[in-house]
Amino acid sequence: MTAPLLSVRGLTVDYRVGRGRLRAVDHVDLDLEQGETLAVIGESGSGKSTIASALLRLVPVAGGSVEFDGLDWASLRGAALRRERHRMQFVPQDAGSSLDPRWRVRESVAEPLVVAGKPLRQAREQAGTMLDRVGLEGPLQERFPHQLSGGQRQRVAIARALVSRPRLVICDEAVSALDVSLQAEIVNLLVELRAERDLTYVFITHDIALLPYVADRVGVLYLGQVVESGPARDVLVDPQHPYTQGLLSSLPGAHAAGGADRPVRGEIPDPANPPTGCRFHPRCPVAVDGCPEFEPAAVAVSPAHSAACHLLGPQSETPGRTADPLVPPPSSLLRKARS
Amino acid sequence: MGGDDLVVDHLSVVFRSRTGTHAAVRDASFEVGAGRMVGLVGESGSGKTATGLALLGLHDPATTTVGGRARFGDVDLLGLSPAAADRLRGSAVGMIFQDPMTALNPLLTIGTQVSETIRAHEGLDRRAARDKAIEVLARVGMPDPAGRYRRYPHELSGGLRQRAMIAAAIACRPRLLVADEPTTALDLTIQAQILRLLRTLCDEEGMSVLLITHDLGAVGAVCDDVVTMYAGEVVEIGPTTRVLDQPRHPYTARLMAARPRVDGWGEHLDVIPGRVPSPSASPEGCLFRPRCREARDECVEPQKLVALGTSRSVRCVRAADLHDSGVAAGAGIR
Repeated sequence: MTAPLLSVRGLTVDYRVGRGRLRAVDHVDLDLEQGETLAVIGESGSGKSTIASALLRLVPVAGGSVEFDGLDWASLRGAALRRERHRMQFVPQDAGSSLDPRWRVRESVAEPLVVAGKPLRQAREQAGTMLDRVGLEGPLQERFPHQLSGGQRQRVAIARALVSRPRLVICDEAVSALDVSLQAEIVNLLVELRAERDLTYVFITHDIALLPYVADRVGVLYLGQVVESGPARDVLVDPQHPYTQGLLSSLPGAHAAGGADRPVRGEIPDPANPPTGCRFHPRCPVAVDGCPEFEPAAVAVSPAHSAACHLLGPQSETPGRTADPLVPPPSSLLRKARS
Repeated sequence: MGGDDLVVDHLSVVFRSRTGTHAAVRDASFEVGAGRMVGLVGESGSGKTATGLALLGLHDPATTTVGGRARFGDVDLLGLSPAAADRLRGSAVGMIFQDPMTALNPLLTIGTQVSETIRAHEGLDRRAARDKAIEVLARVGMPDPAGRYRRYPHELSGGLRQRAMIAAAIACRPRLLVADEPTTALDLTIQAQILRLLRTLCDEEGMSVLLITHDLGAVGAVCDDVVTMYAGEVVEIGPTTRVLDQPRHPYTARLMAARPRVDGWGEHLDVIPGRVPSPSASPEGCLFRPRCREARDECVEPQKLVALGTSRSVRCVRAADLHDSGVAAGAGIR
């Protein structure tokens, strides 16, 4: 078996807030094979976009390693980093604010090629072909961003990301701002392009219902930590962590899909001041005595599927949702919260 | 407490500009029964927001002509003087919008904005209004209402800001609440909480709610009835469970089919080809015809909203045949 295209170990990102420090991403591990899509889901404030920024090398990484496409990605600097950046590209949520309003969209799509040293004429030609492919043809390519609809601007953003032939594309809420029909169009386009160009995606979204259409694997993020990860189908059909179960219950129509009716209550706490022990315990419907004190370790429920919850233990006969909330977590699984 | 019905009758909204007139809403008729929650759905450009603004009397008469009738109880909503409309909004009729950051005043605390409504409409003194505002903040599920009373909008999360806006809207116990995309900008977890809150207020206060949204999922989760709009026209009306399980208008069916479903493994999202026509470039006959898989020759004729049984109406000449052939590609929301 070949090495994964992307292998992240212990990724940690800190932001400075006033005199203090906010740990936005806390020891995150991710693995992604060539041609796969990894969905990262979670609420606002879970650290999803910070992971994107860290992978794209837009914010400094406080710890951990990132191996990408055979490179020690996290330690590339300066000219070496600039030379390799084309391998990993980005599709933002709101293409309207990421495109230069004074440039015709074809110029914006050609820019990454020009920066990489392509002659202008060739770059424009290639940009035109790329825009044709994403469904923005002819005179539309000569328009300015404000003259396009939201869906069309999103197509421009995709063309701009793909024109330099990246290996990995990070889509950060790339379809979240669109009407349902447009959202379907853009999702289908991304899926087609993945097959056609042998792409690998990190698909960041808060909409768990999109997963069946795009994702091979999923990582569920809560306050900077991965609380559950595994093959997308396993995680959605048999969610193990109470947070994942709550996200599924929050979907309209959750009952039809067989989810437990236990939507997540309250709001995500301030990441600058995360709760002790299991960070989810203040919102958890099945929290027990030990949860505020001890940080849960990831427990494998199958070779590829794991979740970090005290109620999942080799000792409990019926792991997961059926665990009796009155039984304290098996002490062998508990490790003292990091101070 | 017998509530009032909202009856919208042949409502039209026409925008006038230098380039001509554009009908954003044409001949829209529907009802919101007392204490019921009705979802008004459609894509961008369907006329749903223009309908909501017309009911609230918020269109600028200098650029917009509103026609038809809209009655709430015995009040003629479209015939009010600006001063009377002002009195009505915030008392009998409340409203909330998608983005609380722009609807709330950034310079005033949450508490001031809620108690201001109470003082304006109920003539309470400052202290009594303050106590009542804290009560209302607690009612909408604001944690630590007395503390949050002194906070400014930017100090709250998106979900709490939306709760604050709902508090300001319901402070004077309106009997009708118009909610325009109140959950669109929020996380799914918070969306579910806000929708539940609206449903609870509807049930416990007997308030009627018109929920304007593009998300059929939100409608399926909380609404009693659905009104689908397309290109300014009402195309389907009926009880939520029946419309979503068995849509009779192809547009409603296609909207359902385009929704991602958490059990949609191995499926493709079903795209509706084309776009909503602009008001100035509407096709002949059925407005949905150019995008419709079911279109036939007879669809070139203008379509009427036709009653199907007692509680449903559909603007599609093929509604009866489509019923049997199973246009309902989008079952399974409930």
